[in-house]
Amino acid sequence: MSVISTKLRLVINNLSKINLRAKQIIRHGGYYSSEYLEDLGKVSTKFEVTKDPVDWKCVENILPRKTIPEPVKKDEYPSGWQPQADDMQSRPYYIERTRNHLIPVYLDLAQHNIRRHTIIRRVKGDIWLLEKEVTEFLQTLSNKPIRLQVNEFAGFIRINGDFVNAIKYWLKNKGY
Amino acid sequence: MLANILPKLRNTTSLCRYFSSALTTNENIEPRHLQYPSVYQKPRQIWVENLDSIDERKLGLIELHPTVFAANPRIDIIHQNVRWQQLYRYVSYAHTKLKFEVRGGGRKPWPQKGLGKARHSSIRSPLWKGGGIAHGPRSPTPHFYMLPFYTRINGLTSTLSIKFAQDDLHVVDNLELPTDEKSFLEELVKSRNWGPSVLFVDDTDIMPRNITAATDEIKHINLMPVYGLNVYSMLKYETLVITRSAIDLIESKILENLNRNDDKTFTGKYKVNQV
Repeated sequence: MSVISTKLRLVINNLSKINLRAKQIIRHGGYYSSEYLEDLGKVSTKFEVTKDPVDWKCVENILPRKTIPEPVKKDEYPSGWQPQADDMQSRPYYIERTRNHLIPVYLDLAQHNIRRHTIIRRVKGDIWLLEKEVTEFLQTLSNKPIRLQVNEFAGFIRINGDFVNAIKYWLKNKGY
Repeated sequence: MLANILPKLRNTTSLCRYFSSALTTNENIEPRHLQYPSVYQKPRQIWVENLDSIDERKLGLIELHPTVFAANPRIDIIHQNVRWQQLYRYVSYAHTKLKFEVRGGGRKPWPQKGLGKARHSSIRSPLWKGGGIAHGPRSPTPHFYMLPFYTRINGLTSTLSIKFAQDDLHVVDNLELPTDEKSFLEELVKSRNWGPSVLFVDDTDIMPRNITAATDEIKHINLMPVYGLNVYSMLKYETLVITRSAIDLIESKILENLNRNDDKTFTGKYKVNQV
């Protein structure tokens, strides 16, 4: 028995020596099978310090923007997006664009997606006129009477049913 | 007698000014440039006043951003903020003992069968008088929770707008007082009808020496830097007096947060170990 055990020990010792010699990554290797860190000595990475504003502009281009900038005025945009019209101050009600320059109309799903509510947010001014116009428009799309709730204080309208794209299209055509 | 009346007469000189809102000095207040200008709402205007004399002098008009100072007065959001400010630091120390924590009760009081009495295993059972309490309050119970980020921001805009609409918001050029006597400040607050309690807000937390010494002894007139401004304190004090530089800082901070693009990074669920 003792002979076998000494032989085994030898084999294990040799195997561990082979492991140490082998520097390539071992398949199914883990934390314990990985090698220790070695001191690589002095590593010389060459760099240059510059305070040139032209160079800094290149860095600024890579940095993510903190806000979405004001879009450049064009007649038509490839995505179909449209900026708000310019005559907003003279209108009776106003729907503010979001920080991403989108129309704030959202779908609210609840009760395992059975309840579908469309919400028009950020309404300022005469919200009751908007309610009247929206119901007139939606009545053309639906056979049932339109049920909606107006919250003048918080500035939103909640409509029963999924009319998000229809309302977004309608508001876009009106210039909002 | 005359000596008693004379200091009070100082206030009467300004009586005629109560009814006039004309510019009383020629000092130039540089106009403000509003960032992220509103398309629909007009900028609001407010007088810049002085603090170096008891008589009020209007130094000039500045404009305020309507999204910050003319927001809807959402009292529901304000209530959420006040509730959160009271609760997040509240720890309930109400405590009751469970059955096993009450002394004794290890022995069965009487045999299970044969006595015609109800079966009981311990005299400290919750059914017994002097026994443990089932589902009672346990100490300490923290009530900490985090209000969503934009509820906190909207709470600030709502409260600032309410203060502005109710004429309880005043803008001063700086907080320099001529003396460090508290009577001067008390008289000034009284003559300008600023009510019993006043909160002075500046952009830095190192305030001028005179106003620090004067407010030190008055408990209902206090100083606060911009980074400490909160809904609860704004409601607690009758009048809010903000320096012009503090107005700039408050407005830029709120507008930056309302318009920033990377809001997804901090509007998620609050984790206790987050930075």
